[in-house]
Amino acid sequence: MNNNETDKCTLCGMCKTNCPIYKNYLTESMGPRLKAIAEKKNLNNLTDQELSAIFINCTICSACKKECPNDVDLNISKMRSELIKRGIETDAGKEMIINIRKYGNPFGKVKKGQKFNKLYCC
Amino acid sequence: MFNIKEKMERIVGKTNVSDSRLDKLSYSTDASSKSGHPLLIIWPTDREEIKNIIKTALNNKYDLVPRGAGTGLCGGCIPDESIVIDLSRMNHILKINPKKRTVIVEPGVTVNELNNALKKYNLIFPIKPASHKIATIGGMIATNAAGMHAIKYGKTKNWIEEIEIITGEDKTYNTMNIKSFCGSEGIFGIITQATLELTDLPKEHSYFHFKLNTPKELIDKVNEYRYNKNILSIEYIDRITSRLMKQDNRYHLIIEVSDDTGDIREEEEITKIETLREGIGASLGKEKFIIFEDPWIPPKYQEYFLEWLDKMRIPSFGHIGYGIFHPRFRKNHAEKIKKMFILVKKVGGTVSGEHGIGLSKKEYLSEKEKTKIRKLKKRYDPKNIFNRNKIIDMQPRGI
Ligand SMILES: Cc1cc2nc3c(=O)[nH]c(=O)nc-3n(C[C@H](O)[C@H](O)[C@H](O)COP(=O)(O)OP(=O)(O)OC[C@H]3O[C@@H](n4cnc5c(N)ncnc54)[C@H](O)[C@@H]3O)c2cc1C
Ligand code: SF4
Ligand code: SF4
Repeated sequence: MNNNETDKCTLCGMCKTNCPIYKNYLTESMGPRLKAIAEKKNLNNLTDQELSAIFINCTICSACKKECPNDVDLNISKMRSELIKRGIETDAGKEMIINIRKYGNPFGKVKKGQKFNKLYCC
Repeated sequence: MFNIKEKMERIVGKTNVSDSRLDKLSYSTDASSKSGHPLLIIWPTDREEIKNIIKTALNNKYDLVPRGAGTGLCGGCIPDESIVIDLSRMNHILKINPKKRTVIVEPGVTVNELNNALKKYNLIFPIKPASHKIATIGGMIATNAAGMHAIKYGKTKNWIEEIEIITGEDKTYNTMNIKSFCGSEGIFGIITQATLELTDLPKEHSYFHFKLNTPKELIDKVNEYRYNKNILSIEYIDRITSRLMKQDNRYHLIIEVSDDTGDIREEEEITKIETLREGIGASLGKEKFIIFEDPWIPPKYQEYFLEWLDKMRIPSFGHIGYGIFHPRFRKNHAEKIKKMFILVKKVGGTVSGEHGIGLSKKEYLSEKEKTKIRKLKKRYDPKNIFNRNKIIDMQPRGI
């Protein structure tokens, strides 16, 4: 998130309003405000595992941006790209990449007429 | 021997207690720009669990911070090596009584959820803070929240029939003593249930939008409408904010009425005016005016106060019909804020019209107010385990 965006964020929590992940768990750490806290002041103090937990728990639906009274874009896709560049990836993501490289599709070896063994969610 | 985390886990289950770094970080702040350190976070789901949590905290000398949606603006949820009790999962609407026009709710229900459920009965809970989409009823009772329609409906305290609260004496009160508990900012105990009064859902609404050149013109117009029966809200935007919103260099007055007598009646036009109002925060945020105050100013001094804000180049907006102003400040404006509160006191206003005292405004409380609160605190939370050092400074925990 660029500095202009972080400066605008007041950590007010309004972005939780329609966040599907927050609404399911009803805990701050699953919602967008933790992403805002992390981007605002804590990126360097968090471990790779913690950063992954913060930014992967998200559907990238942008409902947080829509509800933000200060028009802050948490830019979560960009945060994820940065993490992937640093080699921080979910297990499912890693498996899919291997499958694409090896078999040309994310599902792995698939015989004609056969159902996929495993569906992935990144 | 069990440690405090294990003891709490035995009450609410392992998955409902956390001391992870991420959870601690998540609960270190609220909307007030203050921060602190939680020791544990607990998510209870019923009053029995809360009773046992309080007992355990009392026996082991830990202090507790009740928390709703964490949208509070005065630091009421900031922990100081405390256990945070997140009440968001106690979010059931227990009983709607359309005949009596009441509803019984758990504290974690949000105003929006409640009003959505009441729609089919043509009823509403009419207190509408700008944070209504997420603010919880527990948080609103604790802060005695007001909001956009305060001029018609008053504050939260006007709409409560009964509160259930478990206090720091480990006692449960089902009480109509609303005065002691509504607005007590979680310093006496945890509100576990409330019976709220409801009113008819307004069938229609429309708006007036005036653009005025001076504070005098603005206040004259407010006075013209202030006492009309059909008024839902009277909100203003000052000329600094107007400029920042890429509007003109004038004061805007937006008046909402509960019938079709306003000039702005068509849906498209209504959306336009509501979008203007909702865009205030973003425009001020962009210019780094992110600190949000809420003084109440008596009608006689409102014009003078607006002139003073303009002279000090402080942008503002607010529920002027009810006397609540929202001057906005940048992070390095502590001196300006101090000056403003001195003026507020001088003209007989209050430093907080709706957000509460919490940690941010303790220094402005009078000795008389402090003595009153101290007395109640000694009665309801004699061991000082709830929201320690919020509103007033008291002896350390566990004494
Ligand atoms: C964008 C924005 C706009 C706002 N607009 C308004 C407005 O128009 N009018 C207004 O009045 N306020 C407004 N507020 C402030 C805030 O939303 C209100 O104070 C609201 O009532 C807080 O509700 P909450 O659930 O977030 O409470 P929290 O912030 O979680 O808690 C607030 C206080 O209540 C205590 N508390 C919470 N739940 C309980 C409980 N069950 N038992 C005991 N104590 C409890 C906490 O300890 C804390 O001291 C606004 C805030 C934001 C961010
Ligand atoms: S991103 Fe917006 S809504 Fe979320 S905490 Fe920051 S300012 Fe509030
Ligand atoms: S983009 Fe992610 S954080 Fe934002 S609302 Fe959607 S799921 Fe929640």
